[in-house]
Amino acid sequence: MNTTTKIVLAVLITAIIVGSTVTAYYEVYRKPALTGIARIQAKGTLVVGLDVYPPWASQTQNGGWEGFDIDVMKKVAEKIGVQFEGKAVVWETIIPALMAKDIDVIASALSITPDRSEEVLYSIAYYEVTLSFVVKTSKVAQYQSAEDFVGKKVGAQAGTTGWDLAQTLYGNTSTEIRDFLSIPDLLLALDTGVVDTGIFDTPTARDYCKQEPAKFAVAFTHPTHGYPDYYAYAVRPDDGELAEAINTVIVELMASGEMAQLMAKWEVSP
Amino acid sequence: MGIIESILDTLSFFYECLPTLLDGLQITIISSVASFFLGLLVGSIVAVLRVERIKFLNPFLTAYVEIVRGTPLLVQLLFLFYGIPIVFGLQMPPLAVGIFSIGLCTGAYQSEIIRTGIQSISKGQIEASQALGMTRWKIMQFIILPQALRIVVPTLINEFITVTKDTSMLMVVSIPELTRRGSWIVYRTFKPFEVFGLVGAMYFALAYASSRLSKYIEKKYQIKGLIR
Repeated sequence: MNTTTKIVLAVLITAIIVGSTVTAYYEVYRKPALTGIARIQAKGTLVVGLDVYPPWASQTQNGGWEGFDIDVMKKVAEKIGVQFEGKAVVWETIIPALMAKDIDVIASALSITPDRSEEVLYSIAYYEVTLSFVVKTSKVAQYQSAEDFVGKKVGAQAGTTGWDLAQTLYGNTSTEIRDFLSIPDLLLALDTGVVDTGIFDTPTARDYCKQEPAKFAVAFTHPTHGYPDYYAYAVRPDDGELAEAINTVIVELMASGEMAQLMAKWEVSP
Repeated sequence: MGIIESILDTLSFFYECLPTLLDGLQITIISSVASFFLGLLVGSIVAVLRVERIKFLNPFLTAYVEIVRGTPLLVQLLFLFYGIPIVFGLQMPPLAVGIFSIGLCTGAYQSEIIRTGIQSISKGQIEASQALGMTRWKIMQFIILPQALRIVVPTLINEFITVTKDTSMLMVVSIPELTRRGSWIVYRTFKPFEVFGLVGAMYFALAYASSRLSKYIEKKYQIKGLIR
């Protein structure tokens, strides 16, 4: 073989030998991976996955986060002794991001559903919620119940309980169900008449309607499914210690009355 | 046998995804084809008019092409989708607005492609046709366009493949095309790697079929014995 081939082969073989040695060395001598809360403490931050969903989570002018879930998560971070770090995650990848260890906990008005329970470990429930049908303020008298939207256009965000309810009520009927990437997109569509109503969680619906009372109003609320709908925080199934810490914080807040204060602060008192 | 099992698991998962994804693929194909042909119509007209240098039209046509090429398709789509109801009070079905918007966009690019094709026809042919007494429009119709369109087929199919991929943007205006349906599956199953891998493969299959079609069209419509 010619010189070039010899050189290439030599480099390749050297690379393989060096690579295997380094990996073997690393395997034998590296520090054992930390698990549970110790891992988060070593990191120094609790990375919280958030989607914009006021009043549970929304972004401030300078890129920070504020909201009910942020307040609770800051207390959890305090309890473990780390910093809170909010990370915006697109809703559809929020559970995959949790699994990939991109984020440590999901905190954004996350409802407990059977599908999700198979993937994540939920904390205890901290809030009971229903869905609201939001319409243009000028038309609020026309709509009293779900049947009033037969043959019309309803909007929801795919992957949410609102979407599931829309499919249950109107799937395969004359009612058109349109899917939007976020609640602000949905409200914009409602405003321009692309849809006649938007279906999403009641506390957030009330919050947006309060911000724009001339444009949007809640026509009526509707239970999410046959059983009560609850919010909970979600961690990876192997992060039992973190779930316990979160549960302790929730219970402490409820016992001390701070939970009720937080709900009043963010205007989500039941 | 772990690997074989997981491969079979993944394949059966793909099989389950297919109905939802095929619905989305249908919308992707319909919007790609419709947008492309709208663009072809608009593009050809604009190209011919610009080549003919019609005095009062030229600034408007050039403005159209430059503005469309200089702004992101996403911006154009959102602008039309929310602008048309507000300005004209018209409620158009989202898919119609989507096709219109992408059609206008690809029309600008196609007009440049076709214009290049037209201008590549040698002046010798035009002079010879004029010597034979043909009018401007007859020359365009019988000499220039037949050759120009054949020359630009590969580039136009390339543009078609670009349009196919651009249709994924329709998801921001509530149109459930292929990519968005992939997201729907991910919401339920939490397997983004497998699902978007499959979605990507479907787009690739579409693009590959288009380029094979391109080769077929080129061969079928080539002008035998043509020396350029």
